[in-house]
Amino acid sequence: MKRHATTRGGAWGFVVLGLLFSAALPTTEAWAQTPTARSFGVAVFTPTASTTSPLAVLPTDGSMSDASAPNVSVANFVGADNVFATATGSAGSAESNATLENVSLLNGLITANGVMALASSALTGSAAISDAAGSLLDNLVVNGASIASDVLPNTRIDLPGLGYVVLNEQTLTGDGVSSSGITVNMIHVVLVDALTGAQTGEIVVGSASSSVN
Amino acid sequence: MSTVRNLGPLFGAVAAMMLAWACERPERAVDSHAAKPRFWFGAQCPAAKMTGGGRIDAPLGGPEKNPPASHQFQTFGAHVISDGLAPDGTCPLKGQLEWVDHRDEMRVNGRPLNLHSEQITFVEELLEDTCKDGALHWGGRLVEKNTGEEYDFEVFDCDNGEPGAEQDGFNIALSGPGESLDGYTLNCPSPPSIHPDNICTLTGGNRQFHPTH
Repeated sequence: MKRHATTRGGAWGFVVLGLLFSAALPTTEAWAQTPTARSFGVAVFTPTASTTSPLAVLPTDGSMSDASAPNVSVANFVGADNVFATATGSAGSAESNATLENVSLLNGLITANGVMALASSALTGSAAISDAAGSLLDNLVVNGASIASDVLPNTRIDLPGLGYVVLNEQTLTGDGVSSSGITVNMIHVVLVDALTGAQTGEIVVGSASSSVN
Repeated sequence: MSTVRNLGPLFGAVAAMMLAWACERPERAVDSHAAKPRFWFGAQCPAAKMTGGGRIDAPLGGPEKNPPASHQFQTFGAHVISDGLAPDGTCPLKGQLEWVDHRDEMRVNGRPLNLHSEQITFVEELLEDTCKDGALHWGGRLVEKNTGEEYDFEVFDCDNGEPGAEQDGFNIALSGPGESLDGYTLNCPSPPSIHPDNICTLTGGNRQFHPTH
């Protein structure tokens, strides 16, 4: 009787393992097409701080994720109010967005009234496309200089003694036929050691990414 | 009494005409209150899915963006998934809506209006020629996160091809039981919106209709 029960227990173990394994596997649809989407308000990576908040990542079941915070602050690096992040998608499409207000970086060296990052990717049947349409920088000031809200993608401005900032940074991936992706970082500060030139940290404000294949 | 008897055949004829009209036109027209979209609706509980998110610039709700400093825009993420009618006649639904209205006049204690769905209760086809890839009318119950008030909501969800910016459409309408936002919807006349019936045109992002999934 005892051995019989043990055998049955082993069988149940296999069933449970099988269920767990099958649950971990993507669906057939997910195998065929895997959209990704991710957005966040603020990310800081330095020797003294490492944080990403709020963060939304498209779940593997292709539904939706969202996160928000009344304010985000990393002392001496960045602060922002009313931060929202959303990531959505399904087979053949993905979209994410992040919005922030009252943004200040590096103790006021860079300020903006509003920041919005939008990333969108889709398969059209004959092509794979991505864009950052709708992204914005509102009343951006960098080191005392006002920057137009329609700043060109990947505009770089030096920050003497600190490094540089890339505005409306857009990175495209994929072949444009069967795959496509985009990451847009509206404000991307790269901190550089003034003596050695080595990168010492990064600050990203308003990031959205999406991809399809 | 004799008058009623004489009208009997007339009532019968009218009833027969109405029945014939209904059989010829499976859709039903909904004439809701002034600012809410008006549509022909098709099958209820179709097996379908709509995903994505984006940005609307209402008012005016056309394909052009409002000035950044105006805060006249909304951002959102939304998805709905329907497997179609179940054998028992029910309509199992999954979905989510996250909605942020950044307009100054919609703020509560300095925070943008933030709506989040609690339950999705219906979906039906939305018949609109300007939504060439498909459209859905769906909704349920949501909560205004700023105040905790609950509302019934419906969204008018339009996929008009790729990319979504300047092509796809979306709008939302609220009704009680909450009071302060009862009747809330966006005003998106056409033109400038490329869609009729008060569907707003996306200025960023994408809506993706999946006829089956």
